[in-house]
Amino acid sequence: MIYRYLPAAVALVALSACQETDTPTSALLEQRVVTALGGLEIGESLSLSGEAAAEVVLGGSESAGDFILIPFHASREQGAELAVGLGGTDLGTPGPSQRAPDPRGGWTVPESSLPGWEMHESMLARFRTGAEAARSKLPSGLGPQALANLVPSSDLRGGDLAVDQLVELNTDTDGDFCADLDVRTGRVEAISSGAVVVADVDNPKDGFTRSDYEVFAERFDSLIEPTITGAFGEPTDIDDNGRVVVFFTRAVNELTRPTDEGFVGGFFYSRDLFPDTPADPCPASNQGELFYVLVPDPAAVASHIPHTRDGVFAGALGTIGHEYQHLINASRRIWVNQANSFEETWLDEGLSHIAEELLFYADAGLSRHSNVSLDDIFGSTQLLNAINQFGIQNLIRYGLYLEEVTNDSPTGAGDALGTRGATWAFLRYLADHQPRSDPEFFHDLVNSQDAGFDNLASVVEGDPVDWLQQWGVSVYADDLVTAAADSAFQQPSWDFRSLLPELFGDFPLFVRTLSGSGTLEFDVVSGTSGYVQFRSPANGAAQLSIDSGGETPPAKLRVTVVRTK
Amino acid sequence: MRFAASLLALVALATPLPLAAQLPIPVYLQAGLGIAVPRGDVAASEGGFSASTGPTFSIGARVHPIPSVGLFVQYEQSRFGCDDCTIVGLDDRAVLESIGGGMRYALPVPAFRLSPWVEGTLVRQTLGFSDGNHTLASDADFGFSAGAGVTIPIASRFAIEPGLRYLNMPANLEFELYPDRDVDVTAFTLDVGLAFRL
Repeated sequence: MIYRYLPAAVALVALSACQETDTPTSALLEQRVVTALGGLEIGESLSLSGEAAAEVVLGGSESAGDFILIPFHASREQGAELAVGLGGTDLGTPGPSQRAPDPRGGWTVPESSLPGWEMHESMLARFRTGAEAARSKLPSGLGPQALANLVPSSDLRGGDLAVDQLVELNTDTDGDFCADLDVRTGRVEAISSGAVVVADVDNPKDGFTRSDYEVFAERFDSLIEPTITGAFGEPTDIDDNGRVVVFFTRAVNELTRPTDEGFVGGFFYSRDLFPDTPADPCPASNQGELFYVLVPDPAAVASHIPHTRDGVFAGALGTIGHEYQHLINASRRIWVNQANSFEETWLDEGLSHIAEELLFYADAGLSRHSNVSLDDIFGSTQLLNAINQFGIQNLIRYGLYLEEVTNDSPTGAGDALGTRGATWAFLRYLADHQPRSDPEFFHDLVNSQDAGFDNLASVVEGDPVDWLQQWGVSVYADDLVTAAADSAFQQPSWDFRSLLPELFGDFPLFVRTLSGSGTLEFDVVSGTSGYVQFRSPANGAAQLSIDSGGETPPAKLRVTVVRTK
Repeated sequence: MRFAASLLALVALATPLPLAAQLPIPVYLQAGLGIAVPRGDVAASEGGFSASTGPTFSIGARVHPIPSVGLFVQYEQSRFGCDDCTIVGLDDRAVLESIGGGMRYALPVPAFRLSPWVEGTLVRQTLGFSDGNHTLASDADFGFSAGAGVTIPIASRFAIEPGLRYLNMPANLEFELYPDRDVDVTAFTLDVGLAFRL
């Protein structure tokens, strides 16, 4: 008899088995439920974008919770601005968002640490425009075959260069890319296996001595050459001398205009990689692998800014490493990789700042993922010397970015110091989170036929814009939110929270505060993030509304919220 | 929807025989109403949602292949109060729904016409929250309840069955925006059931 009920019993069991969640839920409902269940743990995060970011509900714990809200402008359009509006209800005032500074003193910023950028930017723009035009006009073509057929007629050509030999080098940067001349006479001061060091015979007095130049040549061979080519690849050798020419010339000092507060530390000009042949005339080209470096000028005769011998000496190797990346990048794009264009400025500069960082690691005997801290720096003379020579400029530029974090961007079109600091830190972060070594990663970035975002996208795993967003969270969370569970929010190579206060007096990240029932409005440039801290009430919830110019947030507005305390 | 389906199933269970005559094997339709008193983490703000006492009801059917042993299936719903929910804009309750089956062991006490019993139930349950428009429910998961009560006949086919149960019903909530959250729902329910013998 009991079996007569079996079908109904089976129906009940089947009904039970079908008991699954299938109701569509909204982002807001999820937020509400999680908040009702106690909300985010310290270090946990919430990510929203577009319409889903219009309302944020957080809190829910018995004690007040501190949060950082990070709106990110997800766009590849350089320089685009996105309005962000925030409104809060019943918010508390968050506690300090900093680690207490631990000043040591005695870390003086070297004179050579603050090259200006306005001049550099305009130069780069002109260089780029001229180089692309010259490149497109090369009738004999690009690539390895064209290089093999190239017979340049340079002063630098061949292996017969000798110390004390005089060479004529064009230093013009103002005029026509391939036509205008500003010829300086240089004397070969030192020759090593990898470098020819040339000094302008008209350099100011009290500058480098021959022994100084010999030190540069030796350090080029022992440190710069293996480090930089190991990471980025070998440069071309169109002048067939087997070396790179480093030209110390007052022409670099002279680039500083009377109104400039900063100065140019050195430059590489891709013009010099173009041949001057009947088929491809470019008489302004020096037809060789060379770059130009600042010289000491204590009496400020070449510009209004004086440069001591020690100051320039301390910065010169970093500059050489920096320019060497530019040289390798451009020469391989023209003659090896047959790239579609030169690298975009922001990425090219970022890679050159990576070059400086790699020199720091090599000189300090460190590798990435060392989370270099102030304790490390002051615990080792070797590290302190290395960071003063190769690392401090990157730290300062990154700090400048943090001060203007919503206005500067790692992918910015300009060449501001902050942009360059941001690009360096972003590339370092990217490399740290790739399953490849630094040389493998950076080699691929330099040896690409693409440029800019397209180049990044072909080398990294995932969308570079997503990485930019996560990096933006790490800018705040790394070495601060100790329980941060997500490794994507960490920067394993540098403890900026300990280092930057020593240089800036405090961690320079610009963080806004939202409290009470206040509102905030600000713009965020593409590729970067803003930072807003707030506190949820104990046994309550913080409710925020987010808009963009009074409208519903567009998809390119992404918001990450991390509970910090 | 689920509730309606359960009712249909119970109707299906009840329809094979006319109601005129008692079945040779005792079959009961049962319904209960009572309160659910949350305990443990679920009643706290941290790890739970400050659940508070709420109503509970159940419907089901029970057969007794032998007089002292009953096998039953039932649908049960408990509506816990949720102070934390109202703070964030959710309805002021969290709904625990379960469907399951179990076994009851009855100890007849002829002198008093009472029949004390103990029972255990294996259930599959969900915990749901609503904001008035949508409901977010946990994945269906297995839980159990155990209880004791007494059957008090009040007419030839009716009996009332007060009982006290302890239930433990874990709920795993999956989110798109967050890591999963586990809520261990534990509670005592005190209810009075009405059983009707077919």
